[in-house]
Amino acid sequence: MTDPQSAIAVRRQAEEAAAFFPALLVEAARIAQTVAAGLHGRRRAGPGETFWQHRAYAFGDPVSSIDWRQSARVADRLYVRENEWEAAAAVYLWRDPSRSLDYASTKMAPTKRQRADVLAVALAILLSQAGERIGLLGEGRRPFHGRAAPSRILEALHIAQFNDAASSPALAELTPGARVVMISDFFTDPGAIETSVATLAAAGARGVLVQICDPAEEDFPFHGRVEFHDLESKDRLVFGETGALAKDYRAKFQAHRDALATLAGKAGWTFISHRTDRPAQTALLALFSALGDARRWTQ
Amino acid sequence: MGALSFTSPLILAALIALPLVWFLLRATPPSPKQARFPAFIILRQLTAKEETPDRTPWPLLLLRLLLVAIVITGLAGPVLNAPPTASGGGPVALIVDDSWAAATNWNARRDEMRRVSAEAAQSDRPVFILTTAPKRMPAPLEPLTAQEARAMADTLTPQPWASDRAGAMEALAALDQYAANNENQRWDIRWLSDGLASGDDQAFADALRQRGDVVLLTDPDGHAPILRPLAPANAGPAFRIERLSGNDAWEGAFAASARDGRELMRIDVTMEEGQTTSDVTAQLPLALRNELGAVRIEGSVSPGAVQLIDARTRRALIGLVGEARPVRNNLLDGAHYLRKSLNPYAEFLTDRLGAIVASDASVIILDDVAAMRAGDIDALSAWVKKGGVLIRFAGPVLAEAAQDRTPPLLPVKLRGGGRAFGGALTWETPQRLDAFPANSPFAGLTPPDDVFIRQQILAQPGGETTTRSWARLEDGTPLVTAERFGAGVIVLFHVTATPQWSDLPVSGVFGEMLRRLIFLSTLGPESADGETAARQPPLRLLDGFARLERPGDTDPALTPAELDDPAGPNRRPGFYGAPEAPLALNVITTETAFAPLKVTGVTRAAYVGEPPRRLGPFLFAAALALLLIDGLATLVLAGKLRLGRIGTAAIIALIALTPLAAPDARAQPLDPEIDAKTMATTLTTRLAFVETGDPAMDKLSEQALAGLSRELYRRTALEPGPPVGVNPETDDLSVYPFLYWPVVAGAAAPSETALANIENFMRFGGLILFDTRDDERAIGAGSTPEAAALQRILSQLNTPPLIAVDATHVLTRSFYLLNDLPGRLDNNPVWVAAQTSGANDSVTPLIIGGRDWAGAWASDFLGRPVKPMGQGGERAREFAYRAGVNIVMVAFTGNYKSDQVHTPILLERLGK
Repeated sequence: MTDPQSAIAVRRQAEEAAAFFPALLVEAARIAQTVAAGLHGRRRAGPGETFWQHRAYAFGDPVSSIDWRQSARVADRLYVRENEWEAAAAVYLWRDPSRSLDYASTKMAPTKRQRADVLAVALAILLSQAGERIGLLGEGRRPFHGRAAPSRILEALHIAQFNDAASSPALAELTPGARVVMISDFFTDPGAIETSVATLAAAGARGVLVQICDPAEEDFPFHGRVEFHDLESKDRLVFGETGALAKDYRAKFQAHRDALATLAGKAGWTFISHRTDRPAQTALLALFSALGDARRWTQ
Repeated sequence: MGALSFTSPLILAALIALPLVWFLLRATPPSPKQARFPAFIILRQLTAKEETPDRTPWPLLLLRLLLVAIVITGLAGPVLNAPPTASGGGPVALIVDDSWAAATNWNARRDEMRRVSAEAAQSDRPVFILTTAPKRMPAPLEPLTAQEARAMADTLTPQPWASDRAGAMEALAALDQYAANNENQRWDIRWLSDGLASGDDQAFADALRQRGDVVLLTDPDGHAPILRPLAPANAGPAFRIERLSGNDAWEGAFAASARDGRELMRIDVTMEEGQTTSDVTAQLPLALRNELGAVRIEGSVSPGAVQLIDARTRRALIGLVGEARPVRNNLLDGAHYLRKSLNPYAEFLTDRLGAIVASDASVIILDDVAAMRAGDIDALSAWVKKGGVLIRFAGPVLAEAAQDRTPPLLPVKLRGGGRAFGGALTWETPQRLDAFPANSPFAGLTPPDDVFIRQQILAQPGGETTTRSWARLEDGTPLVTAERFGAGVIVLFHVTATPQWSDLPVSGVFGEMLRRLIFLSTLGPESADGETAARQPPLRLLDGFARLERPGDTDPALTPAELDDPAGPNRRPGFYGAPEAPLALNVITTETAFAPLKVTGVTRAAYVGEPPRRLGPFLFAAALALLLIDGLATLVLAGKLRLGRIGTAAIIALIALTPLAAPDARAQPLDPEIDAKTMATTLTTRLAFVETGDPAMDKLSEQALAGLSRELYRRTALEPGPPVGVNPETDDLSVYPFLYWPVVAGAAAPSETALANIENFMRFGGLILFDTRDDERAIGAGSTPEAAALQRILSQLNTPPLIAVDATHVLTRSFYLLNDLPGRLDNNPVWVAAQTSGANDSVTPLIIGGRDWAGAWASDFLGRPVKPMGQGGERAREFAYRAGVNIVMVAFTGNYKSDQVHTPILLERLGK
């Protein structure tokens, strides 16, 4: 995944996926309906660009803030123009860097990592169009913002190559009210994930868990005698008649997914599952609505 | 199916190890399919359900055991029909009848020799090989090692003559010295016989039995049929196909080929069960009969199934010119005696002298003809100079003519009158024939002593006459005189061809003399050299497999007399003499014995039908196939190869279809298939028009012919089917009697093929009506585009001279009495072929006009006219139909009604 061609491909796919969506805002209910570009007003005066109120000039206000046109209407009064305080939210992305994502059951389907990258960058594109700040969880750096943000996200994602140790999300210092989007297959112990989610939630973050699965992982379409190789641990498991195991497997798989959904729900987070044989847009739409869901959003 | 044996049977003991293989295979399951899988966290929860290693499925196990068993069996070297191992320690003697009769099944003999050699090699015994057919230079008889015996078996070939068992018996004695040192051991004798009896069979068998145990091998299915010549029938040379046993039905073919190898004829011959002979006559036209080179039983390689045709049996074409007077009694006609004596050797042609000279007769016989027209004399002398043989017989007419002057084309000058012996007033008694002079072609014939010459015509005596005499009477008077004339010869018999003057015509020597004279002709059938003493060099000789090959340097030349002896090493069968008139020496003559070999005291056996066959390769191939199947099955079981329904079907289809991959190749029939259109016309007579390519014109033509067909149906006995459009290039025109050809402006000239078809159509009685439909515009020839197009067509055809149709032409009389052949228009004349010859019943092959008959005849399906008439209205249309009926009637009936032309005169006469 280090070659520029595939990076460009991911960017292109991400642009395509994001093109179907209006600019995404991780904002409050009043602008939730009309997805418009802009920052989130804090309903009080402060640094911003939207007019909020005029108030009388008080000592100490900078001269540049005086609204001379308004002041000219009234004698002996000087008005200061105050804008609404606008602040951009930070969205932190985490994409599982472990090797288990580097899997596709058929040559036609993308690998899970590809799909995860596409989703991450698509989200980054939408967020950057909305003017949000985008950061990578676990990276020490400040969140990016602006047009260049998706590129930088992509770059960062590609720098972070397989790192099996980091298969559960790292904990990091977050700004309060930040959003966290975790994209992974979550084939780890649900307990570890729960710990991470709980910690982040305790820090005030809300977020979305996006589980990306290969169809083979979900359907288990194996027959006969199969020796399975783990991608991370290099473990091997031999099963005699895999076809007979499929039912059990699916039950276990569903149980694992239910556990993930439950732990997400506990923290008030959203759980989204996505299969790589479905279009990326479906996942992005779910992610969009999860991030933009006003009911879950409280200041 | 012969016996199965193994070259190394000990290896079969390895089959005991099969149970071990079974256990091993059971213990080793097929390797699992490998799969990368990330969801290990879930798989680990399933580990409790992981099964113990699979057992190999039992069908696979069985397959592998079978595979191993097959390989072991293959290694053991199974052999079908393996020779039994020899017993006893004495020498092995092979008595090989390498005669012509052995050629058919020679491979069986060779295999037997090889087998015996191999057998002797195993037991390290000497081999004697004694061949019974005589050889010019027989190989020295020595004991051979098995190697040498095998080499000899490979090189030995059958000889195209009979075996000589008496000679072989002497050779047998020569072998005794080598067997002396192990005298106490009996020989192991295999007599590879040809199955045919000869004189000394039992003595030979007894001689063999003295020396050891004799196994007599004969062909399992009797002997292949032979071809024996019969006396030539009138229809052609006759042959008899003979076989030894009539146990079952026999089907074969008799094929006759020319000297250059062309096949002249082929007759299928079948012999029922119990039938041992079948007579075949090669009925061929004389010209082809004289080209006959060989006849054979098709597919047989035996020299006995071939008969080479001697040039001496060729038949000449003899032109016979007799007296003009009608003869009431056959026996008074010279031609009768000539025919009788030459009948087996010649065909006769009776005609005017001029016609005979013009034909390809090689001999012309003038029976008492004196006066000939000057033109005939010139033609006849030119023909003789070219190489013809002119045989003249004397008689009253010639004798009378010779009174005044010597008639032309005679070898000697004649004295007038004649000479009669033994009459009441003559002193002389009837004379006998003297011995034939050595310089005459009759030399060698024995003059009969019961032939008396009672009357003859006399030659002027003189030196010339003496040298030209080919036969004399006892008193020296010439009886037959001849003179070389150019390449040919003129021969005069001084007697009549009837027994009136002499007994010669009713004697046997007469036919022989005439036959030799016929051979003098260099025309027609090539003559055999009459000189009996000349040795004929070998030309092409038969080998033991009935193939003609070039003679070797040492093959001796033979005299014709020697050619009648049976074939042998010094008289190899084949062709001798000149290539154009070869003499034949055949293996089978009328006297050749053909009877089954009958001896007692020997063990009889049949040749091993099938040679030993090693089964190892087949087993290994089967093992390989099983291995492939096993591999496929393993892959499928391991889940590495997922065969969908289509894949399985494809594999099954591939296996099932493999034997069908090579379709039969069959000879294509020489005649092209008859297409449906032509076939339909053969069943129903149909009028046809030539398709011009212009749809409007073609439609009009079709409507016209439909209208005409309707009128024909209504008015005449002809009931044509619906008309049909033809393309002269592609369609078979031979089934259409009448062709309407509308010529449109700018029509291109037909292709070569089309022109050839049209010419054939015209030559064999077809009638084409060319219609330029430009009558009202035409002023002169070629003045309209249509006429120009017609000229383009006709300029390439072989068009007969044309005349305009007048009121007396048969076209105006064939059904209706008409004055003309009107169409829609009737201005310019209609042209037909001038009646120069009587070919095809004087039917004109073409009618050319511009009167737009189609326009007049055309009517739609309700019978309504399509086009208006030019002048005269519907009455004119009626005449146009009548013209059409007349034209079609002429095409069908020819000049049948041409006497109608004379009706007025006949009526006038009757009136008187």
